[in-house]
Formats: sequence, structure tokens, C-alpha cells
Amino acid sequence: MNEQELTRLIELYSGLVCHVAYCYVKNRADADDVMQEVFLSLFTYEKSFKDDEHIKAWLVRVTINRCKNLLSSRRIRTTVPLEEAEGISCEAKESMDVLAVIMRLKPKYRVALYMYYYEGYSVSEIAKALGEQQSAITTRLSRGRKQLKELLIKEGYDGF
Amino acid sequence: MDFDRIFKQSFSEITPLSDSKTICKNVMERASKMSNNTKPRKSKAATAAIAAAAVIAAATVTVGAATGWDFNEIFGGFMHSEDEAFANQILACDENVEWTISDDNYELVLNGVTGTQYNMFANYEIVRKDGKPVTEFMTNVPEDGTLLVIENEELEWRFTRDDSVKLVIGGVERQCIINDDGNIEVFERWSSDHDITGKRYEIEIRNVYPEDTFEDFRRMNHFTSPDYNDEQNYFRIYGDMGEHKVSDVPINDERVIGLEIEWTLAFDYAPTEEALTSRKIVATGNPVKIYLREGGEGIVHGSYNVISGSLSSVGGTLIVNEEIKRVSSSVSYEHTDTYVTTKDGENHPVTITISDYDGTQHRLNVHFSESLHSEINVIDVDSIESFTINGETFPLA
Repeated sequence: MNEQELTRLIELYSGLVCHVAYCYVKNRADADDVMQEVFLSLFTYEKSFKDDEHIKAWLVRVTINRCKNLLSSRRIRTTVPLEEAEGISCEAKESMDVLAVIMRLKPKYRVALYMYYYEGYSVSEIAKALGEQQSAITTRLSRGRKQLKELLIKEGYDGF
Repeated sequence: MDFDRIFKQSFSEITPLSDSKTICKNVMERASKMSNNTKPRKSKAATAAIAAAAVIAAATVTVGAATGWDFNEIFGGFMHSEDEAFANQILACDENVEWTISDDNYELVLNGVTGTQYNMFANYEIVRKDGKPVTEFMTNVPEDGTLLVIENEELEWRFTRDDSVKLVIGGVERQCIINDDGNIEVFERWSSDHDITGKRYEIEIRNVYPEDTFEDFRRMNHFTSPDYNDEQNYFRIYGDMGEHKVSDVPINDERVIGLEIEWTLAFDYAPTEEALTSRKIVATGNPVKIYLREGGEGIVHGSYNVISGSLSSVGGTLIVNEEIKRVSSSVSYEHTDTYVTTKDGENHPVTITISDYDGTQHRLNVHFSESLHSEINVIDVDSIESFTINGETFPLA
């Protein structure tokens, strides 16, 4: 893989990788670290991919694995870095608050819901990307939505 | 709830801290350091064969197309007959109903129906004509309204925006039972609830994996999930491995757990309604439906209470889990100081909602709120001493 191709893939998928990582590690600094590791893995990966969708699924799986490794290897910071907090605008505050509610779901629910609603993946695509059965993904989506709805209502975000 | 909006708004705030060029530069630098620290690799740089992105197009087949199965249409006859056949009583599962529809690849076999004035349960299986298990379910998880159709040899849930059909996907669960031979049979249970013109229908799809072992079942996300850490309950009901017991509540069967309890609930939320008197708790095999019937007049007139669980078990013990919350309410009331008191003096919180069915019928749903999310709540129905609602206690007669 050359630099040009790597740049293209980073432009295409850095958001996805960052978001999936964030779903697990819950802070942008670690998500950023994971993202760089993932793209490093991609760059040094020796096998070929069938197409962009294949790469995308591979990236999701590797991202989750890296996050799990990170979480199990050290205690994750649970605070938001000061410089990051300062960058949060008033307009973004509500979105960030809702995001904080989302982050209270289990990681597997967060990732499934994120991929379904944000990335627009179908259940079968999520199942393939995560290496799970479709039934498991359907269950995660169902339970995740149910729990998220309850949490949002409890926190007063029932206007969505 | 607009989940699309929630996720789009929330995650749009999360962007990589570095731009693409910086990320690329960092990656290249780290890769360079790595290569300096390791033996030269064979030149097998990965080549991404970039093809046109494979996009799984959203299905556009309309419900009712030649290849589609319209459950409105399929169950239409039962909907009609329900008023006559199911009124005033809770019917035993009618296993004599033999009804099959099929297309080129699949066959839907209706095994039985049961129901009440307001509920009907249609138990059916979908099988492939080539005899292989139906494994390629492909689902969307709609917010409301969907029908099951078939296209390209795949079953899919499709959206429908017919306002008269409201559906809540109950989700997919793995369940296993021990059959008469002592073997584990694993079911993939798909359930959905339909509200059709004020009447509620529940559909279950069971996908059987007879080859699966109990260990397979354990690995599947039922027991490995902290949400469903109900292994203890499972063993209590079914026995440990090697001590298979046949469940005394056959799947799809309906049975009376054997309670004849009476109590009166002041129905002050709807003053025009008469006070409720529970006569009997009746539970279907799966899922559990417990009807607190009104004053001996059956459940047809006036209001009644429903406690819905997902499993009934031996010895009159009721296991209630999160499935109980599937009944949605159009009208809800805040309740405080509301719980069930068991004979041992423990209070178990309950959540009560009232469903306004058609403007005249009200339904009081009592939920064991403890069971939400992760906890599996086991309450011996025999042990219930009283209900306390809004601080007012109604002892069992």
C-alpha cells in the first residue's frame, strides 16, 4: 500500500474508526491513539482486500480488538482532557450530553447502534463486520435502543 | 424516538484530533521506525483491489408482492374470527389448526393459535423447502410497522407505514428446551407484537438448531451476556447438564399455573371503570401472560390487568424478565410507593402503566420494574401477599 492509497483510506474511514474507538474508550485522545494504530496495521497488512467494503469491515474489527487490548492493558482515563473540554461549544453541549448518555450503554450496544444509525449499516453488514451472527446484532440493536430510550427519557431528553 | 438524529448529532461532534494528512504522516513515520527495527520483510505490500463499493440496496419490494408474505392478509381470517372464537375466554392453544403457506423456497407452517379478546398468539415455523434450517434471516429493526417478506431467498423484515399496524420488535432470543429424548433443542425465537386496529397480536418465529449443544447455546450471547446471567435460573428449571428434565411447561402450551387469588384494585385512574377483582392468574406457556380478571365477568368487559413475562416454570414460580416491558402504553401515569409485597415481607417494586386501547377500554399493566435491564427477577406467585399502589395496599383475598 502506498502513501496515496493510505491517505485515501484515512480520509474515507478515519471518522468511522475514530467513532468506533470512541464507543469503547470513551475519550478522544485514546480514540485517536487507537485510530493511528489501526491505520498503521492497515498500512503494514500484507494480505489484499477484495474491495472497500472489505477494508471497512476489517477496520471495524481491528479497531474493536485494539480498543479491547487497550482497555485490558491499562486503566483508561475517564476524564476529558482540559484542552478537549475547552473546545466544546455551547451548541455542541447538548449533543455531547446525549453522547454521554449513549456512552452509558454497553460497548457492544453502542457500536451496533452507531453502525446502524450513523453509518447506515444493515444488520447483516454489522454482523459481518463484527464477526457475529445477525441474530446477535438484532438483539443488541433492540436492547440497545430500548435501554438508550429509557436512559434518555430519564435524563430528560425525550424531545427526540 | 429518532435514533438517526440522536446518533448523527452526537457523533458528528467526535472528529479525529488530527487531519488526514497528519494521521498519514504519523502512520508512515511509525511504519518506518518499525521497519528499521525489524528484519526486512518480503515485498508483499498489500494491494487493495478497489472495486465498486458493494452496496446492499434497500429493498423496494412492496408488501404483498408475489414473493412477499403479508401478515395482515395471512392472519386476517384469525383477526376476524377472534371476536367470536376468543371472546370471554382464554383459549387453549388450538393445535388442530393446520395451515401452511409457501412460496418457492420457504414454507410457513402455522402450528397453532391461541388468544383472548385482545391478544392472539400465532405460533408458526418457517422452514426451507430444501430441508435446511432457516439461517439467513436478514433483519432490519424497524421502529414501527413491519411485515415479513421474502426476497432472494432471504427473509427480511420490511417497514410498513400503515398507521393501523404498530409493531414492536421483541428482539431475537435464543432459548433452549430439553426434549423428550433428553436432548437440548435450541430455538432462535423471533418475536414481534402487532397492534392492529386496537388489537394486539404476537408473532413468534422459531428457528430450530437441533444440532447445537448446550455448550453452543452457552456460547451464544445468552449466558455470556451479563444481561442474561440467568444460568442459575436455567439450571433450577431444567436441571444441570446430564440431568435433563423435561420442562413441565411445553412450549406453545397454555396452562393455568393454579392460582386462585382474588383482590380488588381501586381503579381510580379511570373513575368510570368499576373496581377490578382478580379472579385467576392464567399463564400461557411462552410467553407468560397473566390476566388479573375482572370480577368474575371474564376479561371482556371493562379493564383488566396484564403481567407479561417470558417464561413460566415448574412449581408455580413465575420468572419475570425484561420482556415484560413489551407492552407499550399510550397513556402512562406516575406511581409512587407502588410495589408487590410477598409473604416473607419483602417489597418488590412494580411499574404500572395504563394503555388506552380504543378510547373506551383501559388496561392496567403491572410490571416488575426490578427486572429491567440486567436483573432477572424471580417471584413466587404463590408468595404474593398484596399489591400496594400509590401507597394504598390491596391484600389478596
